[in-house]
Amino acid sequence: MIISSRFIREYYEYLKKDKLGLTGAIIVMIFIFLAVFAPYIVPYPADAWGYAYNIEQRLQPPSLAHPFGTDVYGRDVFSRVILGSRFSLIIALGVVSIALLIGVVLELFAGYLGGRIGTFFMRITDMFLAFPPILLALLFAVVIGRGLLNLIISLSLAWWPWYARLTYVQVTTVKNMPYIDAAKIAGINTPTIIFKYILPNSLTPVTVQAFLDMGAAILEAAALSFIGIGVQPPNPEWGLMISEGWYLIGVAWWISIFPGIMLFLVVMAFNFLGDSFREFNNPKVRRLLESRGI
Amino acid sequence: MIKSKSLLKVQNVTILFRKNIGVLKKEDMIIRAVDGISFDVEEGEILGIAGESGSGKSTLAKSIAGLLKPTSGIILFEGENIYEIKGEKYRYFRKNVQMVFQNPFGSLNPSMKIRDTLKDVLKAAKKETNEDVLRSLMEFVNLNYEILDKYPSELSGGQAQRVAIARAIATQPKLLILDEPTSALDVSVQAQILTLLKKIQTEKGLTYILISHDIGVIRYLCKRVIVMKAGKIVEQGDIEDIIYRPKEEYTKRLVESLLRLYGYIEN
Amino acid sequence: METLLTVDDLKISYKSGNYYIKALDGVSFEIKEGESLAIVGESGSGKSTLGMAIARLLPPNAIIEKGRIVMKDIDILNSKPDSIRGKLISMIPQEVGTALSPFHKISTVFEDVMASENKATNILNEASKILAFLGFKDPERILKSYPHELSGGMLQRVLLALAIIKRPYLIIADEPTSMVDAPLRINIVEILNAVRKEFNISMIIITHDIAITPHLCDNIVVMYAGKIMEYGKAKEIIDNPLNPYTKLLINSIPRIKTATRFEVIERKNTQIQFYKGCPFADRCESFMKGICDITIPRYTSLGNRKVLCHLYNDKK
Repeated sequence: MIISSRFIREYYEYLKKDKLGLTGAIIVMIFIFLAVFAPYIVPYPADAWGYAYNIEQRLQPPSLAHPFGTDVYGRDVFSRVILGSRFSLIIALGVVSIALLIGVVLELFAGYLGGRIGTFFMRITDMFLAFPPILLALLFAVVIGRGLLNLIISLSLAWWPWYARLTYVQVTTVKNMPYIDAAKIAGINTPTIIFKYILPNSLTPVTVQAFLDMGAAILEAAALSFIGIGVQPPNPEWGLMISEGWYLIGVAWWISIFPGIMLFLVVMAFNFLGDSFREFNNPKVRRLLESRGI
Repeated sequence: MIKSKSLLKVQNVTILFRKNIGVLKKEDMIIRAVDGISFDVEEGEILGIAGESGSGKSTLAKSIAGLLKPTSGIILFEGENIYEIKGEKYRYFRKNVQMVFQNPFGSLNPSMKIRDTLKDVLKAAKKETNEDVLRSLMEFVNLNYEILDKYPSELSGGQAQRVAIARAIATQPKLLILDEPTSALDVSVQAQILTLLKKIQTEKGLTYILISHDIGVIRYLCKRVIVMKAGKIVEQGDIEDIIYRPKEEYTKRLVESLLRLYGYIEN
Repeated sequence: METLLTVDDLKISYKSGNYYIKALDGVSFEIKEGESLAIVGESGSGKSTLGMAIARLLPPNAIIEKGRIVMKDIDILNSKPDSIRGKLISMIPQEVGTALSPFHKISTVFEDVMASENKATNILNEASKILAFLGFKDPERILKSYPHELSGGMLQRVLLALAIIKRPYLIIADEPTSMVDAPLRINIVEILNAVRKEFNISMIIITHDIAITPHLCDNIVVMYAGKIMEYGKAKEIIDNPLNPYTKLLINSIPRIKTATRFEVIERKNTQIQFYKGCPFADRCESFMKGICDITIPRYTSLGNRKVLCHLYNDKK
């Protein structure tokens, strides 16, 4: 893999100079930390999971005991917002990896075989690409039903064509490299050539892209949850929380605003990180960094 | 078929490429990369194919290696048409015809260590893949064992080309196709690689087809040479004859200008 | 003859992450007016860096640690690049295919190049005169064509014309003969020589092919690992190379007339500390233990030759 320790080290060096990218990286790291440890660090775990109701404490404004206030059922918004990062991370990882798997496997064969079969798969991909992913995801979500798992599945089904396109381009480039010819001449069989020679050398751009798409996946999942066909109550998903507090925005603004800010921060952080990553991967910049020159 | 000494027979091979040049409507231009070429290669011989870039010599090499089916004409390896054989016979052909490419880095899988690249080749040829075999291969091409655990990007051009040669001889082939094996290398490294190739040929009695634009390189390794231009054979014969007594206008011009350019070091 | 260009103790490194890679390690030489100099070396020798430094085309990660380049009393390294390129120094790139914008006619390129000059002369007239001098039979047609309509050899001559039109003092050509076949190479050599005579322009030819330098150049600089290994008249160096590296370089060229016998040194003097001794020590046939691997040799002047090698250090 091109993503090696040297690659990471060089990217780290690059990040040190790129302030926006660094900001993004720090927020993303905090986000991942929160997602992993949320249940153990939030002040009110029961509130966070949503099965505790404290009606007498409902709709309290931010205070020391409840930094982000409480919601309609008297649950601590702060705890819920923090735990919400776990849902978002699961959605982001799930969507991106399923989409990646479908896209890469399909186009790996299509790209390698080329010809009519390749064109056929590519046309199917193009059909999907003609629609905005959110619209497709909406359609799938309505058909297969609500819930976290179904949300992930419907988003993935709308998402894979982007990775398919990228993989296809990469595979068609790699399969014409001399080392593929060399492998064929050496008598290495086709499955080995596909999985050991073409796949590892085609993965880098698409994995980078997938990583960059995590912010967008979180945002679209939140959108679907907001309109009620994604994650279901009482789970603390940010989009769902925003919609839960939406009709009270004049009375208890904190219910919607804090998950909104969190969503905004995380998506922005992924975008900053993504931009800096893309810039770093830009062949021109790479060449400068790599120029053992002379 | 009468058994002859010739290892490889190329008979009337033509390779066409279709290139779409129309902007809106379908309009094809047909490029004759190789145009009706025939020659024989005898066992143990080093045949040189000389020609400038665009003469079709690399396309021909790919075709002989079994990677590109000619549009017309046949290629026989030990009397068998290489594009018709299957099964055991095909594996026999695969094992016995190997190739070294121009760009040493391009011809090695960048995401695999040298050890794994060599192991894959040995496995495909159903040979032992233990450490001793790998080490003796490395020794044969004058490389340190440490190279085995490196990635292609960590090697110099000369080292990478030695690895490519090691890979090509790993299956113990009869015929080695060398497609511009040194033109991407520095002259001092080129000299080392050429010496190595000569050593391997004498020790193993291999048959070489050496493709190069550099008459000097061909002169060093080959006795017989084919001069190609625009997909056709212009002239063929003994290398000394081509240099001292060229018959065709193109060969004359080529040799004359080379001798003029390199006049200062030739004398 | 007057000195045109002086390069004095130039040291350049490339920054790559936390590493600094030495590209030029104390290079000094001079070019006289009207002289043609070849910079010969293999990949990694620093020859391209040297060319780029003189033309002010170094990439941003190059760091000039030390040294000066002076031309006609102008400090090249501390001037604005725009005041140097074209007017004082022009460069012909190696990759001719991508050197010109595919959307513009050749005539447009000439006009753009001359846009900054307030000359009363007709630019296109001037351009077609130069093109005709470079051997084009129908310069008007060339001016009307787009780059993709011309062959590599033609593009190279167009780029040469672009380099000449502002009448610089110096033209730097990067591997001018590397991409073309032998008959065309002679043609390029002849054209470059004619240009030098006609327009009285000095030239620096960057090349890996030492064999053709006597046709083109008066003097050669042989570079290895960022250092000048040998300097002298082209013909003298080829007839009698003093530095072991130059010897190796010349002996490595496969001969055409007589069958070559390479004396290849497979010996690897691996225990050598590169940083301390001579950069070529690990490949050198005249390697002397205790000398070459420990101290960096000094330059020795032998007539008009300059050699960097321990073999000649004590003969002084």
